[in-house]
Amino acid sequence: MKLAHLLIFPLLLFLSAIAGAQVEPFSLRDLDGQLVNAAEFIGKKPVLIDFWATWCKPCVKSLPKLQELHERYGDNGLIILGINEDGSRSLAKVEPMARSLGLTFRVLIDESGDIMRKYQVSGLPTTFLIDSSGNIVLTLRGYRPADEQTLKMEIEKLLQSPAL
Amino acid sequence: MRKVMFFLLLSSIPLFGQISLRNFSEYQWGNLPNSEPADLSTWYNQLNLEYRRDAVTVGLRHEVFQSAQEGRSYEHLAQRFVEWRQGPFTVRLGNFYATLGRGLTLRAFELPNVIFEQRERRKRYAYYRDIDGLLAHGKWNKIEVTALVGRPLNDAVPPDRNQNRRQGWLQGGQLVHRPWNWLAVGGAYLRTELPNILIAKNEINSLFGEINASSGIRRLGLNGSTLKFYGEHAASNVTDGNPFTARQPYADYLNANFTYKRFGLSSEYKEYRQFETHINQPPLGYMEHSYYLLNRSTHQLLADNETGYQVELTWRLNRSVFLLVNGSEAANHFFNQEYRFRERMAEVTFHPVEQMVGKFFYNVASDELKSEKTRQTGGLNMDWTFINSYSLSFDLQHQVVEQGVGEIHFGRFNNSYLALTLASSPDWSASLVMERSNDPAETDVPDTAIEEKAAISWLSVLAAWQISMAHEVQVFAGKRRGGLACTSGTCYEVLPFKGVELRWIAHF
Repeated sequence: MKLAHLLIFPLLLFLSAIAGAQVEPFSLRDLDGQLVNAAEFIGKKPVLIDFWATWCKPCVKSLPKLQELHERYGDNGLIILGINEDGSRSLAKVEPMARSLGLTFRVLIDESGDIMRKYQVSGLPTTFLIDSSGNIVLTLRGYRPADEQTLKMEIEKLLQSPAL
Repeated sequence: MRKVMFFLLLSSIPLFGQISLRNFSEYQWGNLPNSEPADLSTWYNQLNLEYRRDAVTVGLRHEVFQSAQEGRSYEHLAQRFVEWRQGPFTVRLGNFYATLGRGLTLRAFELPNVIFEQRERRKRYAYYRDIDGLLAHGKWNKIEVTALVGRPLNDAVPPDRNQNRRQGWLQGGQLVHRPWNWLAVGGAYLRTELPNILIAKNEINSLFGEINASSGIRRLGLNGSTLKFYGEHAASNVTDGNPFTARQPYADYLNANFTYKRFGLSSEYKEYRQFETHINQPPLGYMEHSYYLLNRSTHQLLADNETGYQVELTWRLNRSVFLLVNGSEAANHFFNQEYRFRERMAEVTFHPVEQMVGKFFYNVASDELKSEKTRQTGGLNMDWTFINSYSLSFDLQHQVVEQGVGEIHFGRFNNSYLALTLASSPDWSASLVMERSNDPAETDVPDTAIEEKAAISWLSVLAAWQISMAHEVQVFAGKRRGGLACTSGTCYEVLPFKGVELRWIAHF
C-alpha cells in the first residue's frame, strides 16, 4: 500500500465527522404504478425507509416485523416506505410477495437501483430511521433478529420528541 | 500551510451543500489454497464520493487495487458524473445506469459490495455494467420518457491501462404512457455498435404493456384481490454485413399476477432467441436463491436460446406460518438436442414461540446443461432472540447431487453447510461457518496420477461490527470455498481463498 493511499483512512474519519446526515427526497412508483413523492413525508414526519428484495431471505424475515411497527406506530405519525430492489429481472414477484405478507405500508419500486445508490446502500436489507427534520438517526445494515427491538426504542424516542 | 488550507476547504464544503460518501476497503492476507505464495497480500479500495448542492450533484468513483505480484496493480477514476435534477426532470452527463422495459433491450446495472476477481489475471474490481454518456429522463404521472447515448462498459475486461473497456456505442430511448390507472403502454428503441461482440450493428425495438384488471375482478365479488398482466416483445434487425448469417432474433416475456387476501400467485413465461446482446438482462423466469447451497447451484440463463416458465405461490396461512411454493422449467436447444432444466421448491416460515422464527425448505431440481440428473437440497434455519438485543441463529443445509447424461450415470456427491451466528442488534455479529463436500471437482487435486475422493472441509469465522452509523468492519478468517455465486439474478465466479480478509465499509 502506498503512503498516499493511507491518507484515505484519516480523510474518511474526518469527512464522516463533518458530513451531514440529511437525506435526499425522491419519487418512485408504488405497486399500482402511482408516483409517490417522498418529499411529502421526509423532513415533515418520522420516516422509516427499508430497502428489500423478494430473493433476500433476511429481508423477507424482517418485513412482517416492519408491518407490526406500521400497525403500532402508523397512527402516531410514523411513515414506513419499503423500497424494493428486485430490479426488472424479478419484478413479477414483488406484488404477490408484498400482498401475501400482508404489508399495508407503501411499497415503492426502485427498478434502476437509483435510490439505492443515492442512499449509499451496499447490501440488503438496509433500514434508515429518519427524524422529522430529515436527519438519519439510525441505520441498520443487514438483518439481526433483534433489530425490531432496537427500532422500537428509537421510534418511541422520535415520537416522544417535542418537534412532532 | 497548504494542508491546513485543504482541510479548511474540505470542512467548509458541507456549509454550501451536502457531501455523501461510500468507501469500501478490503485487505486480504492469503491466496488460493495450494497456491504460491501462500501469503499473497492484496488491497482493494473503492471510493464513491458525491457532492450535492440544490439541484446539482457531482460524483466520482475511484478504484485502487494493489497486489504483491507484479503487473496486477492498478488505480483509476472508474466513474464521474454531473447530474441536474429538477422536479420530474433528470439530466446526467457521465456514468449512469438505465433499464428499458424489463431489461430485454437494455439493462445497465451494478452489484454493490461485490468485488469480482478475474481468475486469469487475478485482478479484483467492482462488478458493474454502466454507460458513459448522456441520460435524460422525465417522469410524470401519465408519461415517462428516457433518452440516452453512450459507451457501455465491457465488464469482462479488467481495468488495465492498455485495454479499452468501452468499445462501441449505443443510443436510444423509451416512452411509457399511462392513459388510465389500469393501463400502461410503452416502447423502447436502441441502436448499438458494439465491436467486442460478433454483431457489429444492431437495432433493437421493444413494445410492452401492463394491464391492471384488479377493479374488474373485484366487481366479480373477489374483494381485496388484484390481477395484473405484463407483456413485452422485443426484436432485433441484425446487420453483421454477411447476407448468409442474417437472422431475426426476438424475445418474448409474459407475466400474470394474482393476489387474494394473504395469497399471492406470480406466473412468468419467457422465450428468448439469439437475444444475448451483452448490454441486456432479460427476466430470469426461475428462482433466485439466497440459501447458500442453492445459490451456488443456480441455473444460468442463456438469453441466446431459452424458453420456459415459472409459477410461484406465496400464502400467509396465519400470523405464524408463511408458505412459498415455486416451480420452474426451461429448455435450451443446441445442435438439435434439447437440454431441460426443472426445479421445484417449498419453503415454510414458522414461529414456534414469540422469540423464535424458523424456515424449512426442500428443493429438487435437474439441469441437463450441467449434467445434473437430480439435485436435492434441504435445510433448516432458526433464529432465537433473547435479552432483547441478542440473538442466536442456526443454519443447516444439505445437498445430494446425482450426475449423469441420459442413461449414463457419472456419480453422486454431497454438500453440507452449517452456520452458527451470535449477534447483538445493532452492533455486532459473529459466525462460525462449516462446509463439507465430496464433489469430485473439489476433492480431486490437479496434476496427480490418482483421483482423490476423500471429502474436504472448509472452516471459517466471520465477524461484523457496526462501529457507528458511518463505519462498519468485517473480518473473515479461514478457508472459503470457490464456485458460483449469484446476486440479484446475476451470477459470477468466486475464487476459493485461504487466509484473513479485513473489510472496512464507510457510508455517510
